[in-house]
Amino acid sequence: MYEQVVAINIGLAMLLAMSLNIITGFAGQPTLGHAAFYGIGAYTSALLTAKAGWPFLLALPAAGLVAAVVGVLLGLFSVRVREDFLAVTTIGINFVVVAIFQYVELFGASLGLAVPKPVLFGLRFGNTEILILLVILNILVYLFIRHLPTSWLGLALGGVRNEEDAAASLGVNPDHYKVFAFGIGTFIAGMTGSVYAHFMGFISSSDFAFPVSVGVLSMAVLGGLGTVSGPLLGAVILTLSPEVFRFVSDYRMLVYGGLLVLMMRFQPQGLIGDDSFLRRKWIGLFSRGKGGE
Amino acid sequence: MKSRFSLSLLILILSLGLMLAGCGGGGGGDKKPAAENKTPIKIGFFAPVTGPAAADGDSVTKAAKLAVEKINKTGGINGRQVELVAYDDNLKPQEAVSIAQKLTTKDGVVAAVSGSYSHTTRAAAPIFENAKIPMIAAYALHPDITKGGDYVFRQSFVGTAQGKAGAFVAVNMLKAKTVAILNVDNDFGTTLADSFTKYFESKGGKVVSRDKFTMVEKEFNPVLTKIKQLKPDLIYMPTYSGTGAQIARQAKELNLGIQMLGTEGIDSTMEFLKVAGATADGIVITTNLNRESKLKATQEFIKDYSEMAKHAPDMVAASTYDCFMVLAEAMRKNGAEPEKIKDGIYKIKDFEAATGIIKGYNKLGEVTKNVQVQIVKNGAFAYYGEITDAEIITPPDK
Repeated sequence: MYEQVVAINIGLAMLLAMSLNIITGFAGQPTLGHAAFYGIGAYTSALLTAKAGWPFLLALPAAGLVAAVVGVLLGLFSVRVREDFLAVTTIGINFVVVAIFQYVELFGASLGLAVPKPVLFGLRFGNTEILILLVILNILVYLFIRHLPTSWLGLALGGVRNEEDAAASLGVNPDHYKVFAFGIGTFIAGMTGSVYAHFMGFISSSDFAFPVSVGVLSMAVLGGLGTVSGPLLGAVILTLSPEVFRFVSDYRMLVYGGLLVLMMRFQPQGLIGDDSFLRRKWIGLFSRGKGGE
Repeated sequence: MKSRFSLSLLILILSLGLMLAGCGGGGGGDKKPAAENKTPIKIGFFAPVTGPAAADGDSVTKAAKLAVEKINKTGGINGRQVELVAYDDNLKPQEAVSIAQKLTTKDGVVAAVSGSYSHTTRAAAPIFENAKIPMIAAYALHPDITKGGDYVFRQSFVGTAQGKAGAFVAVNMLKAKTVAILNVDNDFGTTLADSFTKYFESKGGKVVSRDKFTMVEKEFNPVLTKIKQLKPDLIYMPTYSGTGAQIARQAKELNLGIQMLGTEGIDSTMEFLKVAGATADGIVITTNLNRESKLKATQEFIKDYSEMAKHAPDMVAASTYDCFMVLAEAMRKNGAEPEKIKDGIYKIKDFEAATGIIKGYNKLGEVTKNVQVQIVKNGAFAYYGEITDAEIITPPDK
């Protein structure tokens, strides 16, 4: 059903945006190569189920783990490179990973890989089952993120983001927390990739190219980096808009790009970031609480 | 603090609600137009109108509109009009999948045509197969596209057949003994280069070098210089127009003087002939549109398309146009319900189309027709030969 496919696309985008938000929003580590981990998860899961005969239920966390291992390695890099340099490094990683998928025979090279539909206790997954799985994953990840800002981990990550040296002076080891954020974020991205692969039934290297990373980052930024649910909002808007604007066909990309430009000009902190239009309205509505952190 | 969490929660609930709406909703989609004779017959279509393949997307969209206009002008389908439901897939598989879902469950099309590339068509094909709605891929080459089942067809030569045809031209028409291969690094270039090599070597030829490049490569001087020193009889270049035109231009600048053989990938009026200009003269290609064909269908198509688009048609346009003509023929003869259309397509024999006589479709859904060999003369494609050899043009059936 068409609605289901759109809902699945939204569910995948929400998971990706939330996972990026952990790294870039909460820990403040700019990354422009998130699609690489999405792809690593997708290819891992595809190979494990198609070639090694693993059940989907095992391949799903395995995809997350493999992505997280690479993510932790990147995290170890990020300890040495900061800010813009880190962003550029992650772009490079995205290109390297796509090139590996594109050239190595094991990954189907330029022909791509066919992925079997998951089977669970004799039930062959259709779009409905995939959608239910995505809803569960989204709730779990959301609960984790919602808990984050008030937890010790979240506070430490915030410290690392805002002022590394100050955080270090208070006994928070910034390196550990950065690596940890990369590990968690890429783990979720890897699992999302696994779901994507089994939903599509066919993956090729260009599905995980640099523009996809930019797309995910736009979602998180549009909604509000570092906010709990901003990335969800961004994911919904940016996934729905090409569908909604399909009727303007020729001008679709123009409308989409224009919206992003206007947004960044007038609401750079994101739709529900601090002091944004929506948040002020919301606070005004209830006139209690202080807003902000 | 309090208000912040409430807002967050509201957004979560809204977004999950949207997702869950997908679980339950959708019952309201309109049903396929049944036998009432007045309702228009809807045919779905998708093409990369935006994104990196926009030039081809534009060509095929024009061809699709032209074809539907033509069908309606010549009496429609037994009195019923045909309506085109066209979407842009932005060359993204994920979008192709949602378009395929939309066409099959929302728009109520009875058949569809893919005017897109391999990976998007490959991702969409199983959806048409499961929905039991016939789809014809106009020019996507990936061998797996037709392998899913009965409802997916291909209007152009599968990659393996065209590679073989290229080698046949190299051996028998251009009398080449040694060849250097320059292929674009995706499924298109790789499949063609592989099958070319296999046939060429089986006929005693020798591949002296093989180089690959990406779709957006601009600089070919180093590799062409290397090839110049190897002195092959021929350069085989399965690639697209953008890169093909650059190769032609830079080969001229280097005074390479080696015969070049291309594929349908550079059969493009605007993107290849215009960009390469005089440097394209003498390049031979394997394709499926013979500009000098005596067939009425071909000449009418070329005339109508040139009038509409203000430039000469290319291979992707002709193939797309033919997909619609084949669908119309199947519907007129066999009925306009999806299953009957599918059976109707299998029944087609010796059908006169813009890309030549379609001899029929095999059990995979691969077309059998002659391979056209064209040469660039004075900035236009002209007749060079035609491959009728059954060994070459018969597509694989598994």
